[in-house]
Amino acid sequence: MNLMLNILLNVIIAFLIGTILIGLQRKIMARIQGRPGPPIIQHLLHTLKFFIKESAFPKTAAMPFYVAITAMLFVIWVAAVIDGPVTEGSLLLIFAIYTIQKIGEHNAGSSSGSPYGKMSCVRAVYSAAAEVPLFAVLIIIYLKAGTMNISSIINYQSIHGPLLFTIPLAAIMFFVLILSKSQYSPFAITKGKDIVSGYETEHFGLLRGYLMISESIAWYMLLWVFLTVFIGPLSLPAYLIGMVVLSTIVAFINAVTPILNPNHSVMMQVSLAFIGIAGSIVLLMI
Amino acid sequence: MNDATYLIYIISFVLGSIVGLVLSYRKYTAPYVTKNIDIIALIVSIIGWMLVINSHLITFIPIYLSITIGIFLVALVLGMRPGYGRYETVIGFILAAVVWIGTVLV
Amino acid sequence: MDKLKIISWVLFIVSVGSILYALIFNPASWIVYAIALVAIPVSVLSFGFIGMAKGNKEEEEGKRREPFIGY
Repeated sequence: MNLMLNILLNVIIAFLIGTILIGLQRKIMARIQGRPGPPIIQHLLHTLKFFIKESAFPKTAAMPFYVAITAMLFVIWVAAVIDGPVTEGSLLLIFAIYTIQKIGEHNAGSSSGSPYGKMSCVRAVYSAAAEVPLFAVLIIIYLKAGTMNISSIINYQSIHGPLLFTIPLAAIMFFVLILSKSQYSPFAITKGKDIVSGYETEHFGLLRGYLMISESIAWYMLLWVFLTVFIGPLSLPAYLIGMVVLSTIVAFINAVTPILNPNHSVMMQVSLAFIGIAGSIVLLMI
Repeated sequence: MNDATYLIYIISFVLGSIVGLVLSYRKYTAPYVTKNIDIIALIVSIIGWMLVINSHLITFIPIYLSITIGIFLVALVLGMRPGYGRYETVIGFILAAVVWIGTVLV
Repeated sequence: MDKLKIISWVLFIVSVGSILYALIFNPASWIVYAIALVAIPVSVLSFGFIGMAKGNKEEEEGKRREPFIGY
């Protein structure tokens, strides 16, 4: 297939499935909390609605950086789609993309010129505590499978079985990372309601819809990386079922936990990372 | 099933959800009170789930076309106003699953 | 048409044009990656700027009063 067509198809699939999964997550959270919840398609409808609203650009925003940073967040997740489903390239690039996402959140907050944005920008730097377990997961996968290339990891798993069973603690650490990136999660300190909407507070109308598109693609890509790297060669329907199961588990956890205070959130993630790393090293040596 | 077919299924689901939402808001005026089963929604749901799960039994149209129409009909009921369409979806899925188990055993 | 609309139309046409070029002519891989990375986000952003709603003229003055920059 034509490479550009492959990229376009995968980006559109990532956006649509990501947005439906986020809607499904909100629905399950609502049902657990005893209320009907919004329709599953609500997240997509909101994203499209923002494109036809009147946008306001704050006078204190650092133009044009304020618009360019939202474009950069989209660019990195398109790069993740190219690195993942299209070419099955290097896993290390996914780590870099995750890091740049943190930088993007930081800059989106600080370029908007509002105190809520600045608080969120500081908290985005705090939440880089989630990158320690991600780095450890990559090293553990490298020590186990001998490669950081996604297609080689898939081949390794078709021979030796899913990595989920051989390095389970690494899978749990990656799951904590996915949890921290989900909506209403206990570790979602950058978007906690005590700072209104965090770095998104001063992004109105068009830019808010744009950020929601990047968020949907990011959610799809994180789930895709988890399923590919820990379960292995899967067909498209199996990917869909796996993503629905992961979103359901995340929704269950998010429905029953409050958003933790930033210091507690960082401590929890670092503690889980420490247990995961120590346990994985012990398991690797046995 | 390749990427292009997958995209067509997803777009069919999205369109079905939007149409189902709009139609159900016109039909039901009360928010989440009724526990009756809507007959039209039940029929739509049963036909939709049959097409999605048991498309290999239908030979006169290509399989991707019947699955697309099935997904559209399923989403029509699944995407209805919150609180409606639950029993119809579950009944449709169970009937289609029973037929599928029947075709596997035979 | 004001400056924003002209710039967004130009960006939209250039980005969609480069995507079509990559689709039809199938150049080398790295060119396709570069076009995809730049053109897909820019096309969505400029499409949004074109389709954005505009406030009406009477309210324009009320929205542009000096902000409170007390920090």
